[in-house]
Amino acid sequence: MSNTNQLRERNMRKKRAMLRKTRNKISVAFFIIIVILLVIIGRIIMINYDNGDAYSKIVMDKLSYRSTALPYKRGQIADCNGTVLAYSEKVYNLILDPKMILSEEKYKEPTFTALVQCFNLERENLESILQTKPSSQYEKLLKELSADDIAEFQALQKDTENNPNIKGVWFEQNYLRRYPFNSLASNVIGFSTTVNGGEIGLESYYNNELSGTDGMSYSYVGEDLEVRNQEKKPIDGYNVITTLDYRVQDIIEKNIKKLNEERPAKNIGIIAMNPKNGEILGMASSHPFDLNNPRDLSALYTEEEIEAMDDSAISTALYSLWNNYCVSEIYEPGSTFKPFTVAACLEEGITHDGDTFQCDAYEDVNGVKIRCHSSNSGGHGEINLEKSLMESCNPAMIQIAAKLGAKKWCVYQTLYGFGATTGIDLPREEAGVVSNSDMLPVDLACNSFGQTINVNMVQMAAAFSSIINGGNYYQPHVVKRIEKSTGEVVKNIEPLLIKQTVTENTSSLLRKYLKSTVDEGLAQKVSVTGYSIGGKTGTAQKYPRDDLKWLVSFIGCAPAQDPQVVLYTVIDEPYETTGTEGVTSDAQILSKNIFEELLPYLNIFKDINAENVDTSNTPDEGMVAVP
Amino acid sequence: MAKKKKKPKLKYFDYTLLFVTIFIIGFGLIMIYSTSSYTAQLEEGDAAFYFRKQFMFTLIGFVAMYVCYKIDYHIWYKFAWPIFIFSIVLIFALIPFGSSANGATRWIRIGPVGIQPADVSKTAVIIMFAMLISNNSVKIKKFKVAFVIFTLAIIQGALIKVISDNLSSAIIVIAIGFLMIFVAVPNYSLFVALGSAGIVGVCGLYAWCSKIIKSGNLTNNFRLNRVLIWVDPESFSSGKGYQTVQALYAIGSGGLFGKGLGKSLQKLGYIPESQNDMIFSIICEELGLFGALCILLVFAIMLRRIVYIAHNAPDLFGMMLAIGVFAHIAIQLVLNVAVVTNLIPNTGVSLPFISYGGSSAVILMAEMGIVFNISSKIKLEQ
Repeated sequence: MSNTNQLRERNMRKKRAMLRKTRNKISVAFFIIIVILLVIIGRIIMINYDNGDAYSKIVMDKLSYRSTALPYKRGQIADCNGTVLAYSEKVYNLILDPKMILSEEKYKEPTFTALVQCFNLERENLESILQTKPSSQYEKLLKELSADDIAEFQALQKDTENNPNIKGVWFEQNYLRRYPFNSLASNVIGFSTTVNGGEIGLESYYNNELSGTDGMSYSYVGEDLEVRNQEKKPIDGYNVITTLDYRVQDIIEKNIKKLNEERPAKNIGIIAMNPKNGEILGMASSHPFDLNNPRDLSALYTEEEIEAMDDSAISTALYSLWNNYCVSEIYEPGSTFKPFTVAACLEEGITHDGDTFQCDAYEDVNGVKIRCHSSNSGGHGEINLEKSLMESCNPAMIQIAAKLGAKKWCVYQTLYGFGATTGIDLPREEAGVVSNSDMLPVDLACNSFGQTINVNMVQMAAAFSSIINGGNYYQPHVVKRIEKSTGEVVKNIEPLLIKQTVTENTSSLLRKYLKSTVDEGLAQKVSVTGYSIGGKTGTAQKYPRDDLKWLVSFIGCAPAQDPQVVLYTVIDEPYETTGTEGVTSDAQILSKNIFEELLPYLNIFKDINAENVDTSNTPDEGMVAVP
Repeated sequence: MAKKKKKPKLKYFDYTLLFVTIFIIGFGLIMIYSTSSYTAQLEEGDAAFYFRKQFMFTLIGFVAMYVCYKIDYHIWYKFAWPIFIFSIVLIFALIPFGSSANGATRWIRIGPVGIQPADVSKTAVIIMFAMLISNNSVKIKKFKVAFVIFTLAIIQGALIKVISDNLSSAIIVIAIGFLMIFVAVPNYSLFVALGSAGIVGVCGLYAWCSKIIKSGNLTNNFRLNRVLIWVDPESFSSGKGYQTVQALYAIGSGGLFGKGLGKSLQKLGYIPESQNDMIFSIICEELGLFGALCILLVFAIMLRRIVYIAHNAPDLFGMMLAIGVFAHIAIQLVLNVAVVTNLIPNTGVSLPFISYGGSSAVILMAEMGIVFNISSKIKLEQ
């Protein structure tokens, strides 16, 4: 009994010992599992640390695999009557996806057949693209197709019942800038390219307004985990409504062209402007270029010349072609500047209506003899203020300017806006070069009749507008309104009255003098039967003086007593002006021809009853060398 | 013994384990909804398709857990052999009644419910081993006895492998048996030797595979390819290594705190059936390293509680039962996470309590019920 008990007890002890060992082993097993879990955690940390960024990118890349840009439509440029001068037309590029076509055997034949049928493509070309670029997904086959061009193919593609296997072809949208009137107002409108946007002119100045925002077509995973195809519509650019008038521009350009063919000049620039609000109605030069093909130099150079050019020569040639003569060129204006001298002196009480001056064919300024236009005929003798403007008398101008003094002169120079840009909404305006108040008396003398002072055409037109409209200086501008593509007005550009240059009294005297100049003075060739016109001619000697090159001009307004349009014509190095001989009347004749068409078009009524007068033999301003 | 019974009964119940279990199951349901809703919406037209099915099984599982908790665990001692034989019959039943999925026959369909015999086998082996080990508590020291017992697990595993072509379940069944034997057999030397041999073998295999990949002599051998993918998944990423690489992408793109619950991108069709074996990669992607660590920590707590119950089980049978359940959960957890992180070759092992799968969930919860019953038999000492 005790034996059995002993045996059982030993057994129990053994069992208990075993149980203790087993318990230990449970702990060991648990420990091993925990160690393995720690290793796994280490592995997870390693994956994140070593490849986290790369893997995140791979995962995120899956989301954006189907996104295509939808180009915006660039805004239009229109004239003041809504005639479109520049617009963007939707075109399509034909894109081939060789990888897609090769993904299944059955795709190739029907796709190629359709392509050959609709676009006259060579089958061999298509085959060779597939062979040479089998993994490409973007091969541009054709560019700038119209909606009509692609309609046939799209119809085939859509008809999935009959043509289920036309695959791997799609059309990329794009916009092409078109200028319906080619070279019309080319220097003002400018052109734009797809890459850079506006390059010159209004296209460049208003690039931000004309540009829109590209849209995007993409698929993404929404909050509810649905994959959605979303199209973010492009935002089209704003339309720019200019103050230009297609008809005015056309009249100006037509006449420039006509004159340039008969009597070619180096440069001709013309500005037509509304003096009552600073709106530019027309602006042109004798070097227009085709906006649809702006890099074509063939208008200026022969083929051989173009071929001989290197890259920098070509870009220089292009920039001179694109240069807007009316804002980016500076020159000495000559006698067209005299109205400013007279107005300033009248304003300051230096001189009064009816004052007389002595003209001895020249004026001696500190020992420098400055000749008058009339020097060949022995001078004007005693001449009154009005006559001095009509006859373009230099000594009278020199005398009153000297009385005004350099300091006051400079005040008026600044008031008229010379030496500073006008702020016209066109790129690359040149400020000009003017003297400051410590100028020499001889400089002041020359300034008084528009020499040794450099201006641009817009400065002249804007300042002239102010002295004939009662003294209101409006900022010249080319754009009057910015609209959304829907027609909603974004911004109205109101006439901006910047300053008062002269008083109405002075202004009305100037209007009278300028009218007399056209009626009976040296600008008679401008007169248009039935219209009162005021204006002043100019014959400036260009720098360097020894070259004896000239720049003739006319600045005028109509009707003379209540001007509604200012016309400024500049002819740089006119035909047959060599040395001190030649014809200085081209600017007048050109202005007259333009006025003749322009005034009826602008609904300016005939205000005088007059017979047709032959002005062809009227006296012109003589060419007189400046010291 | 008689004296103790007279004492007022202090009933022990492991509330920590219950809480942890419910937490993991609830978390699993959330993750199943998160991972499957997109594909379920696409394929079944109902985002909650898989969630609803799993929810039903979870309810059944809770019933099973409660029933097993109420049944005295000693009853399993008597049913060890019948259950073991039943599980073998189930495996054989696959031959006439099995339905195939993904090229392997693993399911027996009874109406709407599919039973995976391999899941039953795991429980059968646990109960069988607990019974045999407690019967041979001393004799098991002998290698022969231990080996004979272990053979039963090998038989089960072999049947599963041969009949249902389910290597991963076979490995799990054998591994459960192995771990139970490891705990029961008091000495270490044999296991240390086996472990060392295993490590050397794995390293050798890895080196050999690297050599094959470098030489470029790829074969069409399915198993060998699977191992090759393990060594260099990214060079197979367009083919067989796809799932592994996508899982790695998911883990790597999660970062420290993840993309946020429900915001995984990889589950959108890139990881096929992401609610199944690869669910842990989506957990990493959505909840980040931090979330993954928390889940592993909760699992560790669960295992620790089961180990505690095994320690304090009133007898060897109860102890071994608890160890069996511990082995089942621990092995599946380790294998699953190791597969997802590409520490071992890709085999289909589900993440316990979390991966989608009805019979697996019900069986695991029933096993938890048994553990709760064992815990209730623990006598608290005053």
